Amino acid sequence: MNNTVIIKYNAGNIRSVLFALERIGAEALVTDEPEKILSAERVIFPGVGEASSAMDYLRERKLDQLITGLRQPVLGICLGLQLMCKHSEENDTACLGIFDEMVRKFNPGTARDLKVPQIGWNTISGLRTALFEGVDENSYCYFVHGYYAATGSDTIARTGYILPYSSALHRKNFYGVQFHPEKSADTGERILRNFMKIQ
Amino acid sequence: MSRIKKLFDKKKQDILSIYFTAGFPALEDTIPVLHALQEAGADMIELGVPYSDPLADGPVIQRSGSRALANGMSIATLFEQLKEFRNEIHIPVLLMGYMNPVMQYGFDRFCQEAATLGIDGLILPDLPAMEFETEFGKIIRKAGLDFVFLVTPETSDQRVKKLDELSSGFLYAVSSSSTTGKHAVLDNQEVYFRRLRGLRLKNPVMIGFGIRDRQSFYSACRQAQGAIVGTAFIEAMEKEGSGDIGTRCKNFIQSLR
Repeated sequence: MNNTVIIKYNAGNIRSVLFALERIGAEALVTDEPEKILSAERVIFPGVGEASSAMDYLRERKLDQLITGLRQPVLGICLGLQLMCKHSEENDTACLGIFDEMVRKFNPGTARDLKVPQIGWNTISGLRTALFEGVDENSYCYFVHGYYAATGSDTIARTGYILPYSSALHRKNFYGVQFHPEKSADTGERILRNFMKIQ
Repeated sequence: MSRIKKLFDKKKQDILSIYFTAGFPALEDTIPVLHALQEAGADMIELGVPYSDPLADGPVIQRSGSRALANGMSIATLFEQLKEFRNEIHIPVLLMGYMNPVMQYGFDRFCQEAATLGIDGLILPDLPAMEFETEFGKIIRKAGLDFVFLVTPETSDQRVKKLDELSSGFLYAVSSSSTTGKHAVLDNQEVYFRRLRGLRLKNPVMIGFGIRDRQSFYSACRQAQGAIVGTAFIEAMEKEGSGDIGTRCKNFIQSLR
């Protein structure tokens, strides 16, 4: 048991994650085979896509139950984080319910100069847990998203865009980041390295 | 012969290209900054066309773009500002931007007008090579503009060769999005640049990342024909109270040369 698995499903941004892991000298296996996911030392749950079709895909393959039952460190990225929440406004989708938070659509309202989706660099603050060890408050990370997880008891990093929201969540062995660590230069790399050290 | 080609024919080493965002810090600063950079000894300029979602840029350039957009910069405004710039600016100037605003302006019209104004080339990081080959390349060529593709350490040899073949003017070598601590970076970069040199490319190579000072500039110049400085220049321009625009540009270029 000494490996990292990236869950293969229909909403992946797997290539960049693999490259980012390669840069820090880590190898990962991309798979949807239950035994391999269950026996991995740590699991990455990536995602770029739409919530309801991703959840349908996971349910059809019973990957939803498998993911919620994992005991090893799990890192959800972007849509991965959102799917680990309770519910998403994106096509009114019931999600995995690992985190208590709800996923809502950005509503620009009066903030007319802020477009949706948010695409680009923004800061993270209020950093907690070993995932952010050695990461400075207000470090920049790279975001691409039109939906956000609200803040709550699982919030371990906040970002402000239209309103303050959770840019990272944590509960037990589960971690989720809304930004793309694989696209976030030195800061993202530090976060991936930290994740690889979490036991 | 294009202005860019002439530059590389005449000057084989230590070519300094500066990136800055049009309409930054103030809307009317575009032309004064061009003048100041030429006067201070920049060899070439990459003039950034601000865009709200600059996916190939870091936070500093993203911020300068947001500010330029808030200042009211647009392609139409930029072209208006550039109307007579060739009367006095003689160094090569490329436009660097993204496909979305260019497509909205009209790709043909953008290329033709840019060329008429005296722009020498384009860098559009989100124009894929395949679309360049099938559709946009011929429009760019017809306008007489050079086009520069970007390569990274993760670009395969075969792909580098292909992008070199499609590029004219120079090839833009950038780093991967992440770096791995100072020494590892040096080692990795050296392997990467050695690999690029080994491919016997038709275009000169300009290195465009992490160049902040004289030491990093000359160390990049040992690996390629020259280097592009963007973020560090924008940061220098952001510093309030450090003299007028011209002085800031001059001081910055002097700190590199």
